[in-house]
Amino acid sequence: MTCDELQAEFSRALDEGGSLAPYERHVAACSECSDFADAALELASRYRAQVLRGIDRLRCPSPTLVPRGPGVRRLLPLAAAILVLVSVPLRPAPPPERPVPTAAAHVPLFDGMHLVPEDLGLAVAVDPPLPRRLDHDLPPLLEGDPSVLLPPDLRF
Amino acid sequence: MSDATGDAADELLAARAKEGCRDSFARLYERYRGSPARYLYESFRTDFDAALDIEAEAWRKAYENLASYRGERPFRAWLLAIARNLALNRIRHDRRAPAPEILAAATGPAADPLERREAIDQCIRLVRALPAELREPFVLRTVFDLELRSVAELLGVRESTARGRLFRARKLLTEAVRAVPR
Repeated sequence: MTCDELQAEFSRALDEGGSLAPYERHVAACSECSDFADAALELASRYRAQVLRGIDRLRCPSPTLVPRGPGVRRLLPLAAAILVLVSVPLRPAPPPERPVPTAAAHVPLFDGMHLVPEDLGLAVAVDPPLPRRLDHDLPPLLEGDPSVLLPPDLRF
Repeated sequence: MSDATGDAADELLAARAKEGCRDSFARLYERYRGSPARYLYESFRTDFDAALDIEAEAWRKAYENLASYRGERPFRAWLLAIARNLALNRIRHDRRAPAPEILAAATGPAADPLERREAIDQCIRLVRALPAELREPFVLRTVFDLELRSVAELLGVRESTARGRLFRARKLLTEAVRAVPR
């Protein structure tokens, strides 16, 4: 059997699930057939692995489309520091004066409520114009009202 | 899904999908997503975006034509055959190529893939340098584990022809590796 015929048989065994044992001795001794076996087994295996890795990469895409190198990441704290320095004024601004509570802060709920122009400022903290407790303007509970009392035998 | 379809054979999943189980088809999709595109890319050296488009179309056609899948050959072979037909149709349309043989001639071997010794580690380059008619059966057999019979059916040739092409592909790869300066 020539080397060419042996390689054909080797290839056929690969494709039809045959045993490669009968060829081992010759392949070990023959450089030409050894190269053929390497291409048929090792190269094929590496090719298969590369293609399957490509399929895996396709199936699990990276969340970041544009990878950032370590150099860019190193600059992030510096950029943040510059941003902070630029945004903070050199002299601290005086604290805003606390506005004097006006009568509008004590108006009853929904009744006579109106906004004064000073109240429109977003940066000025003012007392809420509404009563702190919503039940200020609700009628008091009547003691003994059967509609709100729970039954005495109720246990939790 | 908590039944055994996670590890079920492709043919079982395909049979359940034929009965209307969308989950089984989803399992098949998860199992082989990306494979048709990669097969087209490796075999026909198509643009990868086009390969992805064809894969999407192949999945759609597979789902719509599940009733015609008889289970006589592996599901992946059936799926790859659909993708292959779609690709060849598109290539014929784009290039007005009448037959796959012309495609093989058009996508001949690369000029010189073995200029550097590093190429020996770039198996993909070596395989892509094969003629298309040898490259495709090699990809189907090596990467997708299709049996010789399925390879032959998919290519529309006899088993002996497919076997011969695989042998010639291995011979050419051997020569390519040996051509690398040591």
